[in-house]
Amino acid sequence: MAYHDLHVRFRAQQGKLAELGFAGAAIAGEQIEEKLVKSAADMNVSPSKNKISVLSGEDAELLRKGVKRYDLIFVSSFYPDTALIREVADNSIAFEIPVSGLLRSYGYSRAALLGRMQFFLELCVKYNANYVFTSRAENQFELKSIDDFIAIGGALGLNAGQVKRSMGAVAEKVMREVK
Amino acid sequence: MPLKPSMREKWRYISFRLESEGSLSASEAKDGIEKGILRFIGELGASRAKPKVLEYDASKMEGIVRCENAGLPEVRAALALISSIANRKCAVRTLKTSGTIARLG
Repeated sequence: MAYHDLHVRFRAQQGKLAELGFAGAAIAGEQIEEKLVKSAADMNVSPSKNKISVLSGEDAELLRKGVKRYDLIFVSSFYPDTALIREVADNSIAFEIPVSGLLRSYGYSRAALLGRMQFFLELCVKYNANYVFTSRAENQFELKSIDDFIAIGGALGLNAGQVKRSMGAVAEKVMREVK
Repeated sequence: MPLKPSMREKWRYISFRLESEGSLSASEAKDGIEKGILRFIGELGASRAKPKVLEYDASKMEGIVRCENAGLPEVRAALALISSIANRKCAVRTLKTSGTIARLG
């Protein structure tokens, strides 16, 4: 199975990605586009058709309105809104789960984030909602190998198969639907 | 009376390669990795996993971490989440995990 990192924020070298076990990566601005929503007015813009579109924000109510138009949903607060999770499952799209937040925090804030991510993923598993792990790496040190993702997924309560599926089959499905 | 073999600690050895912005001395690398693991798994977790950097070759930037089998998943996650050592951006790439140092070769 080929694995893909669907959100990288710098031009990662193909050789480096291959060394880390990835077939490819989606670079922000080129293959993937993020739309941050803060109010209902932000929802009027349509996502571009030829790029993977990510709808991100803290307000689960607002994010729910974009479920039918976007490919990925990123709840930055990891607020466990079961209605949103069910809708993502029903529409066969996926949540983006970036690990960069864990890398860039430490101490109590990392522990709190880890707890929120664990519960959010627990609900995703319960309601059969898809999720895709991404690095959101801004430099080569933030790029992680597939084994690193499995280890981090283990800390989030997932098994190796679940992490591999998220970066393999689910990531391929997201890319296929954009094409 | 000696301890039964089944009651001895079951060590796992993790070989890793360090990638960093600048060069790090062996003591900086060892200290940074041990602190990074302790920060993630905590004192209670460390008492269970007993992590230790056994060796680090500063020229190759490669080394070996030892931990107990029961704490292996936490230690691997902790290594993956180390993002800076001595104020320099870095990444710890785990290469191989084994029950003996000889088989890491």
